[in-house]
Amino acid sequence: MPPDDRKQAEIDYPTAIGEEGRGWLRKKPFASIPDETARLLIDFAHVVQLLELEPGMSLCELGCGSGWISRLATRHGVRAEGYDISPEMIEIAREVAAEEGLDVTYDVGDMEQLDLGRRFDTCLLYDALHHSPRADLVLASARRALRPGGRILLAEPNWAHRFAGRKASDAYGVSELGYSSHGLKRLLREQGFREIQRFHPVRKRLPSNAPRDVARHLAGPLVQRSLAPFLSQIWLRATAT
Amino acid sequence: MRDTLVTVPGTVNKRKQAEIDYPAAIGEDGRAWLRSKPFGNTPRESARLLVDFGYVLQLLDLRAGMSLCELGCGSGWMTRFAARHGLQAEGYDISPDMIEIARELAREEGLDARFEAADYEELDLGRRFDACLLYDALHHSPRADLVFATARRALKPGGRILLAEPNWKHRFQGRDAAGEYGVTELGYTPRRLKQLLRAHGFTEIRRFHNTRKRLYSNAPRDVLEHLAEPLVYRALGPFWTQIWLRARAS
Repeated sequence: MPPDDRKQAEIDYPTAIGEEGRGWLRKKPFASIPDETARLLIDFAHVVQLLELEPGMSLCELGCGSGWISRLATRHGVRAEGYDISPEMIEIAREVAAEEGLDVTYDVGDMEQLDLGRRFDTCLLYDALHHSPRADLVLASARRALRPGGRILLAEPNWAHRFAGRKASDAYGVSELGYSSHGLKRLLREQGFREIQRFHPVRKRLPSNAPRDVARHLAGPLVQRSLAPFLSQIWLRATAT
Repeated sequence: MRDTLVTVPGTVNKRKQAEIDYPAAIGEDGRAWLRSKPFGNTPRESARLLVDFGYVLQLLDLRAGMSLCELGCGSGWMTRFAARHGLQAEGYDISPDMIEIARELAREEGLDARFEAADYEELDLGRRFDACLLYDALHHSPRADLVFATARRALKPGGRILLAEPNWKHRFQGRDAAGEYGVTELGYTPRRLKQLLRAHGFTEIRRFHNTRKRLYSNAPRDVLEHLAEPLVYRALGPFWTQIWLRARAS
């Protein structure tokens, strides 16, 4: 697909998904099934821990969509700014922030080209990078946004998402790629990031005393490890030089 | 011993009065935390609370449209999160100051959550809730039996209760707060809590085990800690992890 078409598809996405889809964009991470809402909230908790977010710090989120993470970060006392290529997403993000009485900056911006002027302590790409085939350009934007020593965190589906994401890409023309952790690490190095560290997902639920639950919990770390290349989220953290 | 506590006249009111006065006693900083909770703390602590709410959603299988009552809700952050999730959520706390903070925040956030000042040892909510939550609340009462009776009276037949409590060592850790503010800081054993739940007509009582609530890196130490996690939590469970219990009201 020519670059302009794929970007236009991302811009049009909120219109294309209909009333129900937009309802979810507004409510996210809440009001989904318990597992999904819990997964997203727990992921946000991981973001807080991995970026060591404390009140007063600054965060830019690239590809923020309707901006739920930036809003939760603002509640945490972080000065958060969210950028997304879709003006409609940004409009939803601003509306919801206003309704909740939150002071979040949202702006329309193409994460492949943004120049935010090396002023952020932290930069987040949550489920965003796989919407661009030019991860190199996105990581360059992230580097330009971060002050020296600032940290980037990215959470991405695995390369299996190339296949899992086909439904969305066929229906809406949006990009649904999947990067390997190896490829992402190399790109991070090339774009001037250091101290690149990978983190492994966990099951995100409490095990009960039932034998099946106990067995699963005990096997959890080994299973996650061995199947990681195929089915688990990739979390990478790095420091900008 | 705990639930057959001999009450010297006046002592019950004193311990309850201390809970009522707690928000006034903890000063500006303490109240600021009540307002910002679960946010604005250290990354570790804020993350812990957020992860716990994720577990609450999963364990009570909370879906939009369901009803939830939280007993001992404090400034009500979990009730507010639940309202945001689309639940009919009601929070009860003995301290009118707490309820005032909770209501203010719900209003600021445009949320339709209901908060009332009430004593969870005596409350009668009329068997109308799908779910009842006691998060870090039970250990503020020496009368867990009365609190469970309240929870049972609040739940529809078949409704579920979830409680998350510190362990019995909280009796010692909680001494600072107990000494300074006169509030009750107990710690129950899972065995004792299960027994009380059974005695109050709860069935399908199930215990859940705590996790580290964090992602682990590729560093050898992290990997090792993660691999050992389930065993360590199991072995040390009786001494230092949270107790999560879920049960069904008959």
